[in-house]
Amino acid sequence: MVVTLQVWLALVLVVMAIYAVRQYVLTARRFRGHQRPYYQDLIDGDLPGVTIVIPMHNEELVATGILNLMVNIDYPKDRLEVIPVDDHSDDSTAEILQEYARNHDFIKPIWRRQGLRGKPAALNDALLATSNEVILVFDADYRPSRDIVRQLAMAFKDPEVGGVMGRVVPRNVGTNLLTRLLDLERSGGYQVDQQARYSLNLFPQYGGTVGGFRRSVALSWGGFDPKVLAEDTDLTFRLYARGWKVAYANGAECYEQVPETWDGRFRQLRRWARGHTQVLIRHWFQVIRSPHLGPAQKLDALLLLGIYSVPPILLSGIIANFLLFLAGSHPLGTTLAISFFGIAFSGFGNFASFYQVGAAAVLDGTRERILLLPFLSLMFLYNNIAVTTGVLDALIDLVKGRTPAWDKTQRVAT
Amino acid sequence: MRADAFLLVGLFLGLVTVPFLPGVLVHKKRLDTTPLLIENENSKTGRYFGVQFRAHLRSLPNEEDLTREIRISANDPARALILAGEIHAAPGTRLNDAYVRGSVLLDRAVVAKRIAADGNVVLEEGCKIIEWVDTENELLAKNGSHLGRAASAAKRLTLNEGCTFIKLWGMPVWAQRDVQLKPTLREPITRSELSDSVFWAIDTTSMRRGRAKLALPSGIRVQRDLVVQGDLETSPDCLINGTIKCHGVLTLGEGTVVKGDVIARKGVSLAAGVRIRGHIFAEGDISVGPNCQVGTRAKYKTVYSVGRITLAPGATVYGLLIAEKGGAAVAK
Repeated sequence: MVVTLQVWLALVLVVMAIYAVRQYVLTARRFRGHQRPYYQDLIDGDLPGVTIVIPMHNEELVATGILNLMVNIDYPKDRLEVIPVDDHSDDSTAEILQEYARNHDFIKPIWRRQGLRGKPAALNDALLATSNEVILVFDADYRPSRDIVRQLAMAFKDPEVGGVMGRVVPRNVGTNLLTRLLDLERSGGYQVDQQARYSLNLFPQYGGTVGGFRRSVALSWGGFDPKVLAEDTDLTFRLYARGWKVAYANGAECYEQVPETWDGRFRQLRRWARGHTQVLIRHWFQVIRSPHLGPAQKLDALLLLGIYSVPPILLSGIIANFLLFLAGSHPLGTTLAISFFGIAFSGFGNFASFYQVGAAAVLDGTRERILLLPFLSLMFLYNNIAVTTGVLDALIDLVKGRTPAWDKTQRVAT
Repeated sequence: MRADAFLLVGLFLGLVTVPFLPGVLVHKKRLDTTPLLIENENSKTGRYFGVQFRAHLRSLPNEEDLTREIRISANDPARALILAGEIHAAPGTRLNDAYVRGSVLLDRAVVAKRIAADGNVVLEEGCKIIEWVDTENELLAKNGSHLGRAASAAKRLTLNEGCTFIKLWGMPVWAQRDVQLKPTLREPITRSELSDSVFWAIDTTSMRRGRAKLALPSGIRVQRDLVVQGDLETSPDCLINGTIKCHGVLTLGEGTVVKGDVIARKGVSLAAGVRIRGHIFAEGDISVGPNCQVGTRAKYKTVYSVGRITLAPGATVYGLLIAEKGGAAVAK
């Protein structure tokens, strides 16, 4: 028993070290290495047909905002189709959509009143309602720039690209400390992490919004699984497993509304962790066996799959450490040192996450907000609780065979 | 002993708190709270500078108030000019900003910062544009001119030998020694010109994993997209009906026709007479051979290189060229 615990503890430390090295490598690459170009500079006199899908469930607070931007988007309207999917709304979302559909031919809403609620099911209905090959997805609270459709659609000129992801930028930054910290976290995740993975030809991820995919490819495996909460991660792994690639467009930026309450943040993260763990269980073996992925891509894919598993693994390590102390295997000093190291690692977001966020703040040319960096340690501790809960949810889903319900992020009026 | 413990704990808590203090101030004073700036309104166009500049000039004075004509000497530098007529800058002149409703002639070795014109623009030998030049009409850059950060023309933009650039827009951009010559472009190869003996249909799925250099024999026809992990070289007169994605160096033989786009992780070299209907996007250098054509008058496209672009005489691009490390019109 003691030996088992010691081996487990050693494995936990190895996992922590691997993730730390990963973050360092990505940060160093983003700062120093060649940045792979994206296709945003391609302008085209013959643009492809594009369908924009906007899943909506009780979005009356934000629906008008994104639909107005859709009306003003700079893309030939005869090549553009906007499908807002009213997914079981019981507020005034349906009336808003009807009004826009009356005034604009290219806005073609879908009303869903039957079947499972949730983004994957909404996307499936939209895929069947359109014939355009390029599908872009925006959440209802997003504020896309005028040129973003062209920028994202250009990725599909590359015959290897099956998905594309733009950059998400929080717009309610100044609301409170949480939104400020989420702004920092998003910067690190996109400006550094995604861009570095794209530059290194690793495994950039389709994030479910401000991005897109090929319709024919998604339909080739029967569309999205309505039971999967992280349909974006699921799509990413399905694409790579079939030899497709995901392009990352750092310049295709879009404003989003980040959660303004700690409870909202907790529920969002818990849902992400739950969905991500579902995908981990589904795809880890495919990743290892895939003939389309090189060793570096497989490693990056596995680390990406496992990223939400790190907090519970870390927690298990701390528990193992404590049990070893009780068993008399470790003296008090060693036990405390390992526990402190684990908690600090957890709190400082794998340590190197700070480098990612700091590097992103420098690259983005921000000023004072970088001084908020130490507060991220508190948020990472909080994140770990939410993530661990989500992972446990997923494991219970697996054991009990239950279907998770979609938990929508609450919006605020703009 | 007890006091020491309190002191140590207090010191520890103090040291833990210190890193948070600057952040507390930033948060309390609400410093740097604006979202990162996204250029929400800007759309990518080949004539960005010219379009923006004209937008700023919407409050121009009436036509009759504008200067009809001006001649500038080397000893009389002008800061900003708005002219209703034409501008003729003498050799060696330095110009700052000029908006000209007529034509522009910059004589030899003139240096200009920004020029927007509604009429034709002619840059004589050795002219240098520091920022950009844009015209609603034609632009001709003679030998050895430097076209700054961007040069654009609503109609034809002609480059003589030795001209250098970073970003060009023209309908078309045309590299040519003798401006009197009309572009003599080869007609696209039609199906009937390809004999059955050289008609090969290729299963491209098998090529996805190939890493060796792939050489396509003369006259081959590829029915769909072609993805090659290594280098790709086509012999003369190949026809690719889809897009080429090449992870190595791409060399297209004389007279090859690509109906889709060309995307290369390294350099791209086009031999004489190659025609590409789509974009060229390369992470290496691009060499466009004599009488090549990219895009069509009806469907403009982009030639983008992370490295350099060279244009041989007769090379024609309908649309945009971007050479991140600079481009040049070369002798051959």
